[in-house]
Amino acid sequence: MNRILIIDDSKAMRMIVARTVRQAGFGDCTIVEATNGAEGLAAVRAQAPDLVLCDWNMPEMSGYDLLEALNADGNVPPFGFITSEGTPDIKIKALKAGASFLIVKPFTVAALQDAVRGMKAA
Amino acid sequence: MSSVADAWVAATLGAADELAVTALGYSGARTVADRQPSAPVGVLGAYLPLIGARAGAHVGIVAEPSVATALAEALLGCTPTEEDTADAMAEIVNIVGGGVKSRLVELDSTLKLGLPVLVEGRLRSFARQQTISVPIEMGELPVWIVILLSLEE
Repeated sequence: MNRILIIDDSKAMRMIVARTVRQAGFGDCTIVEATNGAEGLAAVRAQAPDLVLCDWNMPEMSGYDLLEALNADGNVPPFGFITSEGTPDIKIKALKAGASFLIVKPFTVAALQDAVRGMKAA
Repeated sequence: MSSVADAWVAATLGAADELAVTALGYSGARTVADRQPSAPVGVLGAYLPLIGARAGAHVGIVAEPSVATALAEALLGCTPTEEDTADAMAEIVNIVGGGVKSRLVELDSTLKLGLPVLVEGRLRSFARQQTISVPIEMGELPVWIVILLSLEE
């Protein structure tokens, strides 16, 4: 894995996710950041990340709408949500749209490691 | 206090406790005094709407500015700027709001989480809302949960 795209409107959360990515053993990866789904869509198209870690609720374009746009492109990179939305219906919606996993905040390093490991095994 | 208000308070305290342990590295969150019918003043924090077909409230987490800075430092793992502190408080209430939503599925499965709004000074209630302030400690830091509960028509 070379390039990880973190999409979240909160600078604080982008900092936390980036720190967790490093702690999870992906410190050699290049981390790219975007602040909403629209920026994220442009970043996916331009930079072809190996993994996208995306928030669900964001202004301008939500994470779910971004995933739908990537589906329409026919180009969905490995994609996981990191979100405070943890209800079963949201998780089902995310997985049906093509997400590999959904991690609910607050989350641990182990949760990210398990999710990425599960994605690779699938 | 109604059972609905009790449910909101319990859900918010539970979510704050989970946040304190998992994201802030504290021992937990606990109530330290009786609920108050008005919001605290001179605070910094954030709130967000959680509105559904059968229930709704605005849920806030606020603290004195120096405490908000300490919470931000615990969340981010570095010394925060003023902007970082505001952003961290918004993220804290976002995480707590998500936890509240998950815990209140049986009360109202249609609750939708809004985006966080920053508070400086005092969180003011809107029309037809009941203010419930709950003094808590996160670790040893004094923090308030403020719930603006929508009253039934």
